[in-house]
Amino acid sequence: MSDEKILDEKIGRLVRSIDKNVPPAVEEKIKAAAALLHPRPRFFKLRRPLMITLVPSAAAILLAAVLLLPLFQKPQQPISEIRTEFEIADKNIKIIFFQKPDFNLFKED
Amino acid sequence: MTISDTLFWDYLAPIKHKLYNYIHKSLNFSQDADDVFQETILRAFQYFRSFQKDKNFSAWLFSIAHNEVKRSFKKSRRQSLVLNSDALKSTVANPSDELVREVYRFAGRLKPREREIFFLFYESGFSIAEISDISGLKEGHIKLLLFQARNHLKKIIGAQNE
Repeated sequence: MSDEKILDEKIGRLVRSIDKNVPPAVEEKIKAAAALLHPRPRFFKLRRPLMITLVPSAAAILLAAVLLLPLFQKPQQPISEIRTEFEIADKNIKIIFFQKPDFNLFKED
Repeated sequence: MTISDTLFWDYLAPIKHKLYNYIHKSLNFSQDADDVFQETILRAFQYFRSFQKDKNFSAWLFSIAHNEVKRSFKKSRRQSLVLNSDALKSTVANPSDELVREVYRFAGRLKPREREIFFLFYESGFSIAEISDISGLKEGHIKLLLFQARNHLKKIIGAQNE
């Protein structure tokens, strides 16, 4: 046996010469606490594999929704008229201009 | 009590004594050691379902204990925790055994992590590979720590034997 192993055995013996037994009171206390403690439900064990599957799936669905959303939207309606209002309050006058696609306001005939 | 619970207590029974001593010695026989022991067992009990039964239960339990000891140091900032010599006095079988005291004085002066390695090796009898698994330290680092401890204690043991 090498010197190192002999020394290790000697140190080990010295270290283990102090030996403490688990007090019965401590043991009882632990068992009582354990009885109240419920082991973590199986869900927590499955949480990680569930998350690994669910999180990327949710992200893919969200991305697809964002990309496909414009396809399901109604096309924008063309502007049918432009309305411009002027009001002269003290004269009680209100002037309203309507600009329609078939009537160009600034076009001379 | 479920089958899993019964199995846990069956697995624990042969090593609880070793675990108790490891925690007490790593914490320099501090009064918190009983609480740390309790926390370790309760945590292990809680997570026992995630323990793969083909693995080494002892190493798994001691890695939980290692984390609890570390947590205890962080919580109470007892990095410089001094050896509880009263507790040592009450546990030394032969009070005149100065060599045992010297070994424990030496261990008491070590940094918490080094002391844990020291006791995992000399008290609990784990191999360097197992200590590496438990503590997360590299095997080279553990070998160096043990080499230093061995060198230091060699002088003490040698001087006492002369």
